[in-house]
Amino acid sequence: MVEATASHPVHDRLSINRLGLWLFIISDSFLFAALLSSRFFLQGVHRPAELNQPLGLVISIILVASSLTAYRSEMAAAHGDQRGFRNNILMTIGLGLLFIIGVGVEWREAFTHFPPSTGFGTIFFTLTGVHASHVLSGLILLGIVLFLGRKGRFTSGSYWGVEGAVKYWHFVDVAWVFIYPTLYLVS
Amino acid sequence: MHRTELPSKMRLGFIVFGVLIVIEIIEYVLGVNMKGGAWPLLAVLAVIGAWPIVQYFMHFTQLWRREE
Amino acid sequence: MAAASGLKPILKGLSFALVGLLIGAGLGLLFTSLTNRPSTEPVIVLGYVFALLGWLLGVGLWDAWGREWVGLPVQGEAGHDWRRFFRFTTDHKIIGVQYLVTFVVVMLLAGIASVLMRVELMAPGKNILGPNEFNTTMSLHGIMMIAVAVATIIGGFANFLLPLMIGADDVAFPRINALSYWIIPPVAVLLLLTPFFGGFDSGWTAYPPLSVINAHGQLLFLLAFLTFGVSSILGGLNFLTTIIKLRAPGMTWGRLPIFVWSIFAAALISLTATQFVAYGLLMIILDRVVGMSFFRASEGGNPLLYEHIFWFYSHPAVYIMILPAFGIALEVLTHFSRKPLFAYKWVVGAFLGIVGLSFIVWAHHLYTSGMPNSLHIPFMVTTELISIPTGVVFLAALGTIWMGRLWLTTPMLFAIAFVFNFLIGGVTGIFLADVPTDIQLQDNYFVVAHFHYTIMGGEIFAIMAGLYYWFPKVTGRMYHEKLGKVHFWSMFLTYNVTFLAMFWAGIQGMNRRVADYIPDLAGINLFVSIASFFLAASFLILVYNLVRSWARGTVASASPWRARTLEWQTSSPPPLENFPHPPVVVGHPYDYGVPGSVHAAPAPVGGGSEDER
Ligand SMILES: [Cu+2]
Repeated sequence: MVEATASHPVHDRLSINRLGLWLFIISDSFLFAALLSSRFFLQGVHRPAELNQPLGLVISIILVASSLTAYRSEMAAAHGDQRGFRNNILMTIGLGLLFIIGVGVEWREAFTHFPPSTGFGTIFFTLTGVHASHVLSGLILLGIVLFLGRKGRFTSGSYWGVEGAVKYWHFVDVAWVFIYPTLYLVS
Repeated sequence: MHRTELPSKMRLGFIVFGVLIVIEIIEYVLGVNMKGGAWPLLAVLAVIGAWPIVQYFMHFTQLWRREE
Repeated sequence: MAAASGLKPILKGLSFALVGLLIGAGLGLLFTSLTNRPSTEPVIVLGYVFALLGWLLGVGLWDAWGREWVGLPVQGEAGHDWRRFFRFTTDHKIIGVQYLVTFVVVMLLAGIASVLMRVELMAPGKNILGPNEFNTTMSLHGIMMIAVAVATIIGGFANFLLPLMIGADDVAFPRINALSYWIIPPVAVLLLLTPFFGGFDSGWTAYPPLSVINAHGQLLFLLAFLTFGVSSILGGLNFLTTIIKLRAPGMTWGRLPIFVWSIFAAALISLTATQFVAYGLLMIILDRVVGMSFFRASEGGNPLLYEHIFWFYSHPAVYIMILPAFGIALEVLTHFSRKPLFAYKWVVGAFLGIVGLSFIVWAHHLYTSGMPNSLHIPFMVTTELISIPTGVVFLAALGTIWMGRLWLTTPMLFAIAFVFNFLIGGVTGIFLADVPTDIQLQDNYFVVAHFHYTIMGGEIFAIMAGLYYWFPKVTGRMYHEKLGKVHFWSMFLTYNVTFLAMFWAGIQGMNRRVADYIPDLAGINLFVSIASFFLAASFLILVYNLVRSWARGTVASASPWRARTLEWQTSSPPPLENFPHPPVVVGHPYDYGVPGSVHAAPAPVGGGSEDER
């Protein structure tokens, strides 16, 4: 995603990168659409009583909060506020890790009540698993951005790396906005 | 970009965050209390929740509009 | 010594892959020692994933890209001799050649597989292949030809030519472009390894429950297909961005060469629909490897889910294959008829209409699978609607040839044959779109003949047209015209004899995907087999002509066909930067015979001769 060669001096590299990332996001949305449709195809709106709904709400709020800090870090980077940018990225990574821990707790409970070999477990583990792998890859990207930011790679005029990683992170949040009610709330 | 814009942008972030939290809590209340039949409402709420992220956090319209 | 240094990136990739394989296999063993599940398949999956990462990093991803992410300067050397073809090179022209050569080889391998199948089917009973070997051969033939059909034009021709045709100096994301090529060799390796892991007897469609319970070869196939899907998505993303962002000044959407439009339409599909097949394959892998229940009916699973998800990709995929073929055929027909492309705007509309419709027809593959009968009529109607835009393209082809001064070169002959074959493919498709006839014809050789008429008679013929048409541009040398014509006539005739007879075999009740059949069908099968051997032999002429001409054909001029599109306005082969002077587009590309018309001015000095937007 982070592509910046010198081979296109005349073209607007930033708008090319943005379009490329958006196309990637559109493509990835189709994966989530397939995931969601398989939930309704196989399980309808069935929801086991053991599902931990409050925990679902808590990790949702954590992820939304991480989107806020990601937004703040991008805005700070855009305005040359290096400290604000780094602190907010660090908070985003922290919240992301907290989300992953939350999913881990979920999985422990789920293994006893509806393991992956059961009908609902298949859907639950696949949806949360695919989403968590997106969260993990987003965390890696944010980590790289933080590392490069410490080295002073981003300025208020050139911060595509920050913008790209943050956009991806927001997309992971948007995906969860749909997965959360689909798994935890419909019945 | 002007330095003075930053506080107003940060405020926008909090507004979006607040809206999202409210939507998620409404969703939760609906999901816990309405047995059956809640899913069309939940679908609408999910779309309403996704929109501000796409619009204000991801700057979707940047794609065709010039940078401010 | 020279060879060893030239192959250094590949050797490095292989050694990194080996390290990755060991790490992944170790993790797999660790993982399965914690659970009580059999360890073979988790070891295969993790071993492969890490080996793939190792391969990509070693072959050039790290030097060209990864270093940047940890704050180091990137490294890379282009080189000028043959070695640049064995490197992680970002020049779209080299990547195009890499794709073309790779997929011509894959096509020949898959062709050999089809010859083996026809030998087995020459007479009833067992000849050379047992049932499982036959089905593995059939499945390999299927998936390799699907890969050829999906990637030869987009990966090969579009890579080399599309940036030239729109007047750009490269694609939008050169390193992603290189990545989407270098991810393909592992796919080939996996597929060629399948026979050593028990083969896979599921066909390229890999329907569960069979694909969940059969030999480990199936898992290798699933991983290979999934990897290929990643390449296809990245390719689509790259071309869409390139077309939207990198057009030369004056190259408006209304002036885009029709081949570029066809790639745009196909890229829309491969960007989006491919995610569905990736998910379909992932579901099978999860069922196999970690024991999930997507398709285990006892746990609430449902194999129909796979068929829906799979065909939601694989029907649109037919248009990933055929739209670029339309593009090549119309391009060639226009230039060699020396007439404007008939109904250009309607064709563009038809392409986009096909993209839209292709997403709402998938269930015509499920008429006999047990889906609700109420879905039959809607999907029959949407499927038949597709014949409207397809018909528009067909009429545009005829309208372009009509009253033209045809220059019957080898590419032109192949393009005309494309129109003829595709007509047969389209007309026989109606019988399969209609529920009543499809229920009779499903799963027999009528279906086989039909889709070979669209994909082989259609797309492969278009690929042949493209190979001959752009051969001088890519290699800088002319092919042998007489040999080309011999190849055309032998391929065209034997192709039609082989596959027309297959329609008959199907109507007589010859089932597809089986190694044996009732003795009544011996005559027609022997006939098809013998015809197919001649068809296979015709490809030898092609190979001879390409190899010979590339080595010592006569040197080609910049524009041997005197065609107007931009790729012919630079030297053959083009220089690294494509155009010494960036071109400016001032008119439509196909205005042959229109007085005073110009497509592009060579340099912006002084502006174009006509109206400049
Ligand atoms: Cu179809």
